[in-house]
Order: sequence, then C-alpha cells, then structure tokens
Amino acid sequence: MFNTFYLFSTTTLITCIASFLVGFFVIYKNNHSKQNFLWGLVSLSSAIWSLGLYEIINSSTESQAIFWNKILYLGAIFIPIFYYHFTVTSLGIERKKKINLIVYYIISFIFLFFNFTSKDFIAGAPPVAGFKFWLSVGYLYYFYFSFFVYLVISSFFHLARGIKVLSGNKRSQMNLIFLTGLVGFGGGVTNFFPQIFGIYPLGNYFVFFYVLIVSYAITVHKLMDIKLILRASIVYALSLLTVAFGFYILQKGLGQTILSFKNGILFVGIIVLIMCFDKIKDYYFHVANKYFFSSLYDINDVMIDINDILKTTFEVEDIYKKINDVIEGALHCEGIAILIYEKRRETYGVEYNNGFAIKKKVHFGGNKYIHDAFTAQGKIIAVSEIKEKIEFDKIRKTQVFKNLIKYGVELLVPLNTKEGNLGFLAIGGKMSNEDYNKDDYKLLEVASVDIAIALEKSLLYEKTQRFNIVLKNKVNQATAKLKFQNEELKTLDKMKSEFISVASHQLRTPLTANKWALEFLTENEKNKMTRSQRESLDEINQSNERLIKLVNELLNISRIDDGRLKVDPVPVDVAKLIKEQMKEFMPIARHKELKVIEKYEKLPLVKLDKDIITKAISNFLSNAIKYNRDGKRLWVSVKKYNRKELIIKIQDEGIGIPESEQKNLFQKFYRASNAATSNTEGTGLGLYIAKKAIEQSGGTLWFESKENIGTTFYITIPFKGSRRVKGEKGLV
Amino acid sequence: MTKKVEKKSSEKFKICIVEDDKMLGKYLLASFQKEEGIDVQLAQNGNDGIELIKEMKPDLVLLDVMMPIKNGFEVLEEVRQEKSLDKAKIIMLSNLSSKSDMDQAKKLKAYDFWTKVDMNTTEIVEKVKKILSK
Repeated sequence: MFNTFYLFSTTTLITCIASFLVGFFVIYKNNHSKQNFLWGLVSLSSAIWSLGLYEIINSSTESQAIFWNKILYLGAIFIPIFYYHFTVTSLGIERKKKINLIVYYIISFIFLFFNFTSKDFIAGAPPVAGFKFWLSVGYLYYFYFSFFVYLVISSFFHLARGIKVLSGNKRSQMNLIFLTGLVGFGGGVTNFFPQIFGIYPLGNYFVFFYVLIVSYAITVHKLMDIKLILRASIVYALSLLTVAFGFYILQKGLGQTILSFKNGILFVGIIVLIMCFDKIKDYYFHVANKYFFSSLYDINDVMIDINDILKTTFEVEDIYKKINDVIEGALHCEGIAILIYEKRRETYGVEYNNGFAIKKKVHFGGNKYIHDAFTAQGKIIAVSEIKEKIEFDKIRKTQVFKNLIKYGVELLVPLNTKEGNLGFLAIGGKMSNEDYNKDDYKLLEVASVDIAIALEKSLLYEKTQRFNIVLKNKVNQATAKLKFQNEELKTLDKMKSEFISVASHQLRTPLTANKWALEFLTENEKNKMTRSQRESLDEINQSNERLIKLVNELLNISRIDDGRLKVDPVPVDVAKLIKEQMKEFMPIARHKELKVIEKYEKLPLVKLDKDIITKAISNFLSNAIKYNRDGKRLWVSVKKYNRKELIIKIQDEGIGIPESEQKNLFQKFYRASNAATSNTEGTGLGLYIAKKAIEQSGGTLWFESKENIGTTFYITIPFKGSRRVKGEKGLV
Repeated sequence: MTKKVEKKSSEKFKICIVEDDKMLGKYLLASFQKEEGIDVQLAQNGNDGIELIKEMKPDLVLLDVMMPIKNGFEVLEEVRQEKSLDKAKIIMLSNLSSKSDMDQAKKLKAYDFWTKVDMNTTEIVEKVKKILSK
C-alpha cells in the first residue's frame, strides 16, 4: 500500500514538473504560434492539476487538502477547454467554432467561480480509495464532470472527422494530437473515479506518459515523428533494464564474498557496464530496426508528399528545399545535397546543400567517372561500395570522392531521366548512426525517378526563363535603338515644321507688303492710271491673293500631315455656323444671281473645333457657288441623319465633276479638268484640306455628281463631336 | 471710309504702331495718318516700341509679334506691368497665325490677335476705329 502510494505520488510530481517544463518550452520556443501557445496552456493547466493532486495526497490536514483541491480544479477546469481550443485551431476551424469557444470559456469560468466559492462543488477531502485525503463533491461538480466529458468527446469527434479529410504531414500531426488526448484524458479521467465511483485512479500513471513522450515529440519533432520517440524510449529503457539486470546479477553473485573484494568487483563491473551501455544501446537499436522499426516512415506517405511537392512546385530552388525537407524527415540524415551535372564542364555543381560543409556552386574535378557510373547503372551507389568494389577504382582516386568522404556523404542517388543522368542526391549518414536499410534504398530509388523528372522540367523551365530574359534584353536594346532613331526623326520632323513655318512667315510678310502696297496704289493713284495700267494692277492683286492662298494652304497641309494640328473642341451650333457662313457668301451668290434654298433643323450643340469645321464648310460652300452656273439654284441644309449623326447637304447645279475624274477629287493638287478651265484661281488643295478637316472632326464625306447637271456634297458629323488633340498649330 | 472718330473731349485718339518691317510699317502709318481723329506714331523695334508706348500712353497699340531684339510678347509683358498703361488696348499683329501664339496673347491680356496677310490696311483701320468708339 505504501509503495503504491509512493509511486502514485512520485509520478504525479514528475507529471507536474514535466508538464510545466513542456508548457514553458513550447511557449518559449515559438510564442508567435497560436498552436504552440494553446498547447503550452494545456500543459501548464496539467501542471497545476498535478501539483494540486500531489499536494492533496501529501496533505496533513483536511483543510489543507481542500485548499489544494481548489488549486487542482483551477487547472482541471481549463484542461479540456484549452485542448478543445487547441484542436479546433490546429484543424483550422477556429473561426467556425468561435461562438462555441466563447460559450465554453464562459462556462469554464463559471465553474472556476463555483470552485472557489461553493460547497456544492468541492464539499470536503475525506479519505477515499486508500488515500488519506481525497475529495468529496457537491451536485455542481457533476455538471462540471459532464461538461468535461462533453468537451473531450467533442474534441475527439472534431479530430476524428478532421483526420479523415487530411493527408500527409498534417494528418500525422492530427493523429498525434488524437493520441495525446487518448493517453492524457484516458489516464486522467480515472482520477474522477474515486470521488464518483470510489475506484482507485489507476490511469494516473498514463498521464505521466502522455506528457513525457508525446509532448517531447510535439516540441522536438514538430508533431511529426512519434515512432522515432517511441523507438528511442523503448531502446533506452531496455538498455537501462539490461544494465540494471547486470547490477542485479553482480550483486546476487557477489552476495557472499568479502566486502572489500566485493566492492572492487562491483566497481569494475559498474565501469564495464557503463562502457557497455553504448554498445548495448546500439545493439537494441539494431534489433529494433530489424524487427520492430524496419522503417520509420511509410514509403507511400513519403511518396505522396513528394508527389504533392512536385505537382505544386515549379521553381527549382523550391523543389530542392522541399525535397530536402521530405527526405530529411523520413531518413533523419545528417545532410542532403543536390548536385547537377554540367555537360560542358563535365562536372557536378552543388546546387543545393543542407548539412554538409560544402559551399554552393562548388565544382569538383573527376566527376566524369561518377557520371559514367550513373549513366551505366542508374542505381544508388553507397560510398562504402566505392571504397570496396573494383568497378569503382577510378572514382576512388578522384578528388570528388575524397571530398564526398570528407563531408560525410554516404549515398549517391542518381537522378536519371530518359535523357540520361541529370545529377545526384548526396545523402549523409543517419543521425542515429545506423546504416541505410532496404526500405531506405527503395524509397530513394522510387523517389529519385519522380524527382529527376520534375527537376528536368523545372530546369528546362528555368532555362526558358533565362532565355526569356536574354530575349527581353535584346528587345530592350532594339527598342532603345528605335527610340533613339525615333527621337532623331522627331527632331528632323520638328526642324521641317519649323522650316515650313519660318518659310511661310517669310513668304507671308512680303506678300502682305505687296497687298498693302497694291491697296495703297489702288486707293490713291487709280484715277491717274490708264485703263490698261488699272487692269494690270488688278491682275497683280489677283495673283498676289492667289499666292497668299497657296501659301496658306501649304501651311495647312503641312500642319495636317504632321499630325500636329491642334483640335480644340467647343460646343458649336452647326446650323448657325453654316447660316453665318452663307451670309458671307451671299454677295457673290447674288452677283451670280443664284437662287439659294436654305433649310436648317434645330439640333443639339456639337463639340467641334470651330476653326477647322468653318474652314471645311466654307470650302464646300465657296465651291458650290464658284462652280455653279449663273442663275441656277443652290441648296444648303442641315438635319438629323440618324441617332448618332447630323448631315449637311450642299447641292449645286454647276458644271459637275466628270465621272472618270471623281475618284481623284480629294487628292492633293488635283483639279478637275472642267474646273481648271472655268476657274483659274483654284489651288487643288482646298478639298484635300476640307476632307481632312471633316475627318479630323470625326465626320464622313461623300458626293454625287453629274457633269453639267450638278454636284451634291454630303457631310456627316457625329453628335458626340471630335476628340481633343493637343497639337501646336491651328489652320490658317 | 473717312468717317471721323472722336473722343468725347476734343482730344485725339492715340495709336502706337510697333512694326519692324519697314514697308508694312509705312503703309499702316499712312493709312492711319489719313484719319483726322487719330494721332498715330510708329516704332520700328521692340525697345523703341516700349519707350514710345510709355511716353505716348496710347489708347491702342498695334504690336507685331516677330521682331528682332525684343519680340511682341516681351513688349506686351513689359507694358502690362506698367499700371499707367492699363487702359491701352493692345492688338497683336502676326503672320504666323499659330494657335499657341494666340493662346499666349490671350494669357498676356492682349485685346486681340490679327493675321496681317488676311487683312488690308483699310480693314485694319476700320476695325481699330470700331474698337476705339466702343
């Protein structure tokens, strides 16, 4: 009885200390992780609970035991809610369970309140199930117990459901959390039995296991490798037992011998046993590997992980890193490097390294022999094989092999594809100092095929990317050259425009002088002139006006063709504009005795450059009058054409345009033959400019004409008007 | 055509012409000199123009844009800085008919911008008279 009590007490204390250490360590290690933080809370609550338990059974008075009971439940009330919280957080369903969490926390705090205030929760600490002090409870306690069981089952339920849909690493993590719960709560729940059923809390010892084994696994092995921990625990426990057994035999065997001699033998025996401990341990590891833990991983799981990576990763560096993580996780090797073969240099370059003292991008001489061996066989080569087998004679002497030994590489795993050998994985020795077994070879052989294919793709992709960059650079260079040439052209173009504008200014000034001098002459001296002198004066004046017009139109054409025509749209009443234009032409129309029929529809304002549209319209009107025959009719109308456009129609009964010449009408300097004879003043530029001006305003233009019957011009203009163009010059 | 323009007082209207082209200046001057109600003077470059304007304090200035040494816009800018010349209506004369020049004229508060080649002197005189009698 005493021994059982002692064991119970000690394991409880150890659980307390271990839980505290684990809780502290988990939070300390990564206090940014919510998962770690919550697991730390679970552990610390467990520590408080164990401390309470230890102090209760070791209390000397009942009031003391009652006090420690209250401390115990300070921890015990929160263990399930923290575990639940940890579970939903780990499963990523915390947000979905937010309301549940809040409610559960509130309930937990209510129980905490009762724990410290109500006798209906903890009633007393009478002796139960062989303990001097234990616990008697009130009716509130049963609510708490139900709540406890509910939360634990609920957590298990979520875990079981969550694990089903998970795969890979996450699945094993969740499995471990599940196992933790089973061991911990499975053991812990028996502590309810004395006060409720009067049964001895046998499971308490398991609680100790849960903390010691599982928490260690969680912190050190990132919730991944419970098998390794189990194996290590069993191996060490067996080793210790063997040594202890040795002591026992020694003591028994030497029981009757002389004291001093006995002590001497014992001393030597202890030394020998301690020295043997490592060997014994290695032996057990060997046995454990052979019979129980022939592989520490499931090849299928590892392959699933590798396939996941290769499916989702495309960047070479990422693939290296992730392959390293998976293989290291499975084999627990001391180093992994990935060396890629470079055909040109006949060397393997270290492209990835984790754990070896090699610098990245290092190339070793003598790689060709390894490459040949890989190409010939495509099998994993162990460094120990190279040391022993004759077929590797050449490799043995190479610098690269000497380096491989130096860095502690044990396996060379070729990455072969259909195209040949891509490179190899250099795998270091196992951390456990074991040899690589059949399963390891099998895993590496199967995995290396997939890895090689993925790497080949990825390297090709990288090469393409690099090529793209080269291409991009070339395009950039060409673009820069074109830009430069373009700038040069622009400069030239600007010079041309400047020349035209200067030239036109230079031409226009003397033309103006001529104009004003002729005007002066006409006004002041005309009366003194003879008739023929007056006629000549008029002719000079006409020629001068023609020259002015020609210069103006050349200037306009240069501006239009440059594309530097400024378009500055303002709202324009097109009908009103035409009406005003017509007024200006009326004197000439009257002179030719034309019958003008105007018809203007009321239309919305259109945003147009007033100068440009005026220039265009006046050209058509002036033509319609100029080329009309005396006494004939002229129709001018503006109306809505369709939903989007208005239409201007200008119809005359003039000389018309010969059908064969109609297609040339809008060409620069083109003049219809009959127009040239009937009117010598035209430049052949007016219609070209007018057409461009209409087009600039977003409009369209066409005509119908019959020689000696008349011509009709149609001009459409969109209601939305013309675009603004930030040019430099307007039309003159 | 020779309809008299008169200020409300018996004073004559004062007009400055700043034009570097000798021929253009000559004909412009001549056509204004025929007008009785107008006192007109000519300057043949920008610097002289500024001096003349400051001295004469004209009602209206016909100011050529393209001139050596000081162009029309520079003259306009300087004149506009002189408070006593606020009332002078300044009309820019040019043969370049560039939109940007017109915009600049507007910005510098010129009264108008005329293209010489499009007009004869009679038209200019008539237009000026119309502006003055406003």
